[in-house]
Amino acid sequence: MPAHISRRQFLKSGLAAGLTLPLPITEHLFSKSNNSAKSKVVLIRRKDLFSKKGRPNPHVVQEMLDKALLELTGKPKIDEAWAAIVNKEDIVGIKSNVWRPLHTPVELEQAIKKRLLEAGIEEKNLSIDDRGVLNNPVFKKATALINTRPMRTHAWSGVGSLIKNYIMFVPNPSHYHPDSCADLATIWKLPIVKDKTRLNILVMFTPLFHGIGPHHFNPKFTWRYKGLIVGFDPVAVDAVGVRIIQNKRRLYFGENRPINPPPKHIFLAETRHHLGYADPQKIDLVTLGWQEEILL
Amino acid sequence: MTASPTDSLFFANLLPDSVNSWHKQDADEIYHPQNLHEFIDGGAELYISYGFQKLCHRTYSSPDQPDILVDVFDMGNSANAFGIFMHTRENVDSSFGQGSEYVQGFLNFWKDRFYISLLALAETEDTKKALFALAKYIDTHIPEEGKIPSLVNKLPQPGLKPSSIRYFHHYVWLNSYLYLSNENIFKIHDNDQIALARYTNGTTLIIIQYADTSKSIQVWNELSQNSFPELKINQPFLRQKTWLQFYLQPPFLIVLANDDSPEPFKKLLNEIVQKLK
Repeated sequence: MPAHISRRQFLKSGLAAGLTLPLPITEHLFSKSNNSAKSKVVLIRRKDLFSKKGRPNPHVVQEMLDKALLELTGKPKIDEAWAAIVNKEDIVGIKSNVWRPLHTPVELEQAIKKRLLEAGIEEKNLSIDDRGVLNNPVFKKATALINTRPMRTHAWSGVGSLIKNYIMFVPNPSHYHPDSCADLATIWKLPIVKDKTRLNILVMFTPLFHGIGPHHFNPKFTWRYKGLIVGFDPVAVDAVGVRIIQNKRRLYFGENRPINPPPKHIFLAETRHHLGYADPQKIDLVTLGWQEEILL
Repeated sequence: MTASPTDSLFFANLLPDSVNSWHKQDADEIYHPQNLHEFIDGGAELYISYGFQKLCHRTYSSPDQPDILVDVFDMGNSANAFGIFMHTRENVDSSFGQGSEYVQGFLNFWKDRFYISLLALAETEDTKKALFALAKYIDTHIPEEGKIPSLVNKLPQPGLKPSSIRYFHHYVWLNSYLYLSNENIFKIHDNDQIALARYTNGTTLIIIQYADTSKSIQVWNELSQNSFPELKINQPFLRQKTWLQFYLQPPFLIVLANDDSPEPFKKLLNEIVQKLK
């Protein structure tokens, strides 16, 4: 297993050892104070993800999540990995995504919830929500957020990303629409979410790589990639996801067909808003599991 | 949002109560620019950028069959209906309205000032038949045809790829189809028009028609001073591995781009200049 600067930083922060203060643990992982720091991202895929009925197999999803977190945290056991991410006193909101054609799979939500409960989070201090987060009592007083959603192309922002997933934390999302959602990363500086995100999980089970019509969905433009991309830096995770989507478009259309409009909010999240790293040179990507047609 | 009596009456004339084994469910939903985002999750800005006025949404259901969602967009005028239809087209046919496309459970077409989307939540032989029957009904009940934007008709025909034609008013789309900047360097606003097409020789042609002549001159001067000093010599130039040539014929600003060679520019430019006179 390769050594990773981000992991060393993570361990060095001390918070990984299980301190009980609900501090922004992951902030240290892509701190700009150290120019040599990279953001670690783990991509895990399983060829046997789907059951014969086409649903994600719950135990495979759990295994994927667990292995990704062991790699991400550098911990030998899954309880230690989660203890490095949350502590028992945390109030945890799992920010999901309910977009009907391609929502966060319930199998993944339950896998996250299971581990959070095992980590000692009280059930009353745990909630899964998307469009109701502003009125959800758990989210209103949350000390920690787990951010998860599927990646898909999007008619205005280029892609529906982890960064964009926090738009439900603002009362008027259209305020963030100018210039094709260029400044979505500013949402992450609002008090309701600032420094609370402990983990980002981009679902790449059946990503949408092209959209047409008002509902912007057609199963023809999805494929069974069977992956999860996990990291502490949402920008880095999104950037890896975009690379896969872009490569799939090139493969499918037989020519370079850029995502339209370009998902500039991801790249500006680094260059303008300093939320994380989109530059591949600053991303420490580890791939686990099924490698065929990985599109990287 | 429940339809107002006026809206209900108008759209009721366009949509049947049932088709094959599918029947209308619930009341129609009517959306306006102010609340379109409640219906189209995140995608409302695309339609608003094309002058969207009003949407009627209706769901049809049939036992043991996927639902069919019908959306009739009133885009205010035929130019915008054409523009939004062409926005993501791959293959345009003439089966319905003034241009249509069917892609695995999704049928869309435009006619007059309307853009119509019909989506089956899963494709079956029966949903496909129902979508086509619905499209035929709606097509028949929109009596008038609309005009294709006159700017689009200025695009030279030889070598033009018909499905590549785009027509829009928003700089985001210009930057998407030909990336020169993140910013609105051409100062595009709602009352300006843009037609774009790709040609078999690899050239992308963009015609910007500004709302007034003085603005086109002002933009040209700013571009040549700030972003493209090459404009002063009025010849093709290379930027980020793409050959470019700009040409001003107020109120039109023409942009040609080709990744391989500027060789096709001269002939294409001559053709377009003649058409714009």
